[in-house]
Amino acid sequence: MWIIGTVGRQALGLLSFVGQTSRLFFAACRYIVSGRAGLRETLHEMADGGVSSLLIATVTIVFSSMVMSYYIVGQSLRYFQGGFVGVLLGEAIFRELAPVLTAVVVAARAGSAMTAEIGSMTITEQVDALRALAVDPVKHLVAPRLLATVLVLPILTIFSDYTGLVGGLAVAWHRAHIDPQSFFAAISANIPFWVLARGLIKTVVFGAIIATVSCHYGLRCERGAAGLGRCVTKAVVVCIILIYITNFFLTLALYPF
Amino acid sequence: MGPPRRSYNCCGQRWPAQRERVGPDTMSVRAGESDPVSRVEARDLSYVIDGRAILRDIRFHVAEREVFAVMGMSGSGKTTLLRHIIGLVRPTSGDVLIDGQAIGHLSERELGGVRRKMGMSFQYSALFDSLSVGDNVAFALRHHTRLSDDEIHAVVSEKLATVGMSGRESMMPADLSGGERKRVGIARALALEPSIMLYDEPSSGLDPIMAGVIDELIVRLRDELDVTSIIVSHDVMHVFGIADRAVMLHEGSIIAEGAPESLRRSDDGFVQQFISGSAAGPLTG
Repeated sequence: MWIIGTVGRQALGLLSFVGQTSRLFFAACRYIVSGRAGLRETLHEMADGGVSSLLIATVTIVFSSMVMSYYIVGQSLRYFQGGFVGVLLGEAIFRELAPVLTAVVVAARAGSAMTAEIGSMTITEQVDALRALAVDPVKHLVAPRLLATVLVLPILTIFSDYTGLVGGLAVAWHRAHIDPQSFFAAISANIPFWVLARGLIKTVVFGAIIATVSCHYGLRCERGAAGLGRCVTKAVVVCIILIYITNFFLTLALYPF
Repeated sequence: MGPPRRSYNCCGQRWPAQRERVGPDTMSVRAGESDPVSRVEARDLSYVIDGRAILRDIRFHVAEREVFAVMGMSGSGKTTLLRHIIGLVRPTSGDVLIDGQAIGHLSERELGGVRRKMGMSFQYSALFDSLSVGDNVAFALRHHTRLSDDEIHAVVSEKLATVGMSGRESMMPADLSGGERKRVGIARALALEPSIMLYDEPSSGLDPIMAGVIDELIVRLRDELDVTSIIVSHDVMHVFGIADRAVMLHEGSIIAEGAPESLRRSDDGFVQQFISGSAAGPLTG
């Protein structure tokens, strides 16, 4: 019986989470669509979230691409010519590596910062002070972060796409002496633009998830250092889980065979 | 702002001169005379969370231009009551009325209109720590008015001068002491010149001189700008010095209500122990 109770409680908790985050997302979207998201706050969040994530996103994608390139080159040399290395690597980076890994890095870096900042404001009654001053916290805190993350993540991903290819090229050149010209020529001849574009569409969805979930946990933070730590950890874990789950369904929808 | 100014008695209340006390702890009008204008009213307000009653059937009203105090021991529900008045918390039952309008079930957007005529000073100031002192005080002005930067700057300077914090506009909250942050919090709450002010422990953390400055400010706001004030405090001397009327909360219920003098003369054991500050008594079991 206790299993039923536990499962029931978890299910209710999940439904509650979906309902609350959906409400938060649509409330923030209303402010964004009506142009009331706050330009200064949005630009500040773009600079903060984008710049702070750039280094770690670059390191992550470059080394992940280098590993991928290492395996691809090895298989290419064994089974066929190295001319497809760039195409295979490019497909992997544009479709999956860059969008997903960049989103995970941003969730860990910028998402955790959002949760910590808003959580600390919740604990110290600054969010209550906003409401007492008749300023909606969704308008002032959530909407700028949502807009900023949705705009910055595709930009970071484009950067990741390029740096990933450069990192992969470095390994391909070192292992199989594949020259850069033929590497990039193969990519531009065989990978249509929509492959890159649909990867960027994924990042818009990921950005919405990161901002909404991070702000949701921040606004519900419990008092104390332990409470703040718990809500930051929960936000990052949930963001990453949702990114991977959503990625699967987006891949089915955007890249049908 | 609130209703137009009427004639007042010595306590600043819009009561008729022939007021009659029903008992030592209550005040009431004689039959046939009109009730005073209530700016804030609590009607059978109860708040239960996790099975625990924080507030039980709270009933009071605050007249225009009144300085009304809510006293009680720590954990008696004073701050929770204040948060209900500004709509930060929804009651489990009963309601709060601001100028006759029930606010317990208003949406956040609808509450915005009510909150714009209120200001709240938080116990721990709740300053926005990413903004400077000046930007904190200017915050509501930038969001709710179309004043120019120069006009906003003038208002900010005036409000900071009111609380003895002139010239500190560029400082950050982290650079201030607790008492200084409290004063900036009051200045921020006053920026839109609200007609109802809520103070959560306004003198805690302040030295006696600054506490006196704040007390004078509260009285001056009443006398010069017809501001209605509700003060939450456990400092009996502070409350008795400026309040027109007070209630005492104990375990979420009002156990005494009246003018400070009537509370001082009350023969209720709980009230007397609280006023005298003695460790032994019914409050401490």
